[in-house]
Amino acid sequence: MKAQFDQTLLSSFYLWFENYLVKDKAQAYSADNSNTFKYIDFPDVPSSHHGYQGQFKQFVAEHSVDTPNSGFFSDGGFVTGDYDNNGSVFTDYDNGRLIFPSASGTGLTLTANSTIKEINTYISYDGDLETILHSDFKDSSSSFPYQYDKTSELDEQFYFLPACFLSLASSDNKEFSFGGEENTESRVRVMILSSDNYALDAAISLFRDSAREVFNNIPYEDFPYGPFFSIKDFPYEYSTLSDSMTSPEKTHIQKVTASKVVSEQLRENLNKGISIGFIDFDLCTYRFPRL
Amino acid sequence: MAKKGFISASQFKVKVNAKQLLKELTVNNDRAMGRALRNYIKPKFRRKQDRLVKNFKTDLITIELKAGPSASNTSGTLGGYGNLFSFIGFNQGSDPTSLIETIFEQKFDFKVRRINAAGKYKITFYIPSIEEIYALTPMPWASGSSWVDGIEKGISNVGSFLYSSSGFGSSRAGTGLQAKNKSSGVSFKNTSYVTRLLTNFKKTLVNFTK
Repeated sequence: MKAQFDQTLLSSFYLWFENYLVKDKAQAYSADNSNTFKYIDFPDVPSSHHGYQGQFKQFVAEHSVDTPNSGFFSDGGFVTGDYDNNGSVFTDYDNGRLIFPSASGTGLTLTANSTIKEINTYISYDGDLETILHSDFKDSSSSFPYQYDKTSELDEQFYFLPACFLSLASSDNKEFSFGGEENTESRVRVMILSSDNYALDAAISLFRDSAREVFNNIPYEDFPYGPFFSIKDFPYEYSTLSDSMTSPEKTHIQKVTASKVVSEQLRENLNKGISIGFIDFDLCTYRFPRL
Repeated sequence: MAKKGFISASQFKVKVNAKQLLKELTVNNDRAMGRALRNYIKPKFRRKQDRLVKNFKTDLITIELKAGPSASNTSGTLGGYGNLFSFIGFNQGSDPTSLIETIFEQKFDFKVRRINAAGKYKITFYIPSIEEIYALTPMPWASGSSWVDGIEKGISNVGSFLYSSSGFGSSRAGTGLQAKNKSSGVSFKNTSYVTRLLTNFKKTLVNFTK
């Protein structure tokens, strides 16, 4: 089935949101982190490939940051992060992995100076708190805030905190003008989990102030991330991609409502030490849904 | 032969300039006209407001919330599982809908004002906005968000964890959490609630002939 408006909207919002966190105003990333990779037999990597897990979770894919992720080192030699020019090695920006063709073997010595997100971002299609809360977390209060501490952890499913989980909460079409134009009103909910109140407050403040911004809807097929959340067209810059759209459909951020969980009982029941915030984005897109 | 009277007169006729008379009664007597309009509108307006209160009280969402934590999901917003009161996470014994009911019963007012020399009147109705309702209906466990807004535009199921007696066990990593007991995976279906009632109420204010 072809992708529909809601999918385009959520993925476009994700790209805008992710970029908003690393832009000059926020700079929620950490550059030049010494990283080493280890072979793991991942269940989601097919037998045609081998996966190597780094010590960090989410890499910054945006190339306009101060020190972008340009590649990695294999046995000390630099290898570009460009899939088309590095022997078909995928860089998994979402999970901090390198995915090699299986012919490369499992004994490679891989390192990198990684630029990583300070606030991780995830699309949560089901918007399901349960799924997220049933997962494990690593948080910034640990000795190595963004790293896996132990080798045994590498094959486990973790979310690294602080983390934002984006989901489409609701949408509705309202008649807008003659000729079939409608205002599609959508609410995207972002749930932020953090053990660090500074990061939580900063993210809430940052995005509360984004009301009345506008972003381009990027067609689903132009989503910059491809297999294993690698970059399809390296290097990737959000502004370049967004500006390259011809007559793009635009979405207006009409209202942003931020809230924090204040119930101590609830926080205790959920988990000790994790703060939760919600940012609701009320979006308007004027479109012709029946054309 | 009958004699004509000494004095004769043609048949008495009075010509009424209806337009002028109406002007005398309305334009030149605006206080009386304003009073008459108010007296005409007030009971009808009250009846419409009473109907709004009744519609609110009989709305499926209100009924379910009023029934408290032991209610069944008659509104269908949870697919028949659980109930809204617990899903949102209200305190047992509280009645979250009573505040809205009070607002609907007390707050409404209107003013009649002449706006030009031709006798045109403007009637202004003061009714609570949906934003006011949102501001007065905070989520029981969070600051800055409204449960009415949540019902209308989607609500997180975080409140359903509020009274989870067993809570969550420690994670494999020891630094996070991992649920030991997964719940039913109930998802919420948003629906128009107070906004719908207010919108329908406003529509009734354009016609006071009934």
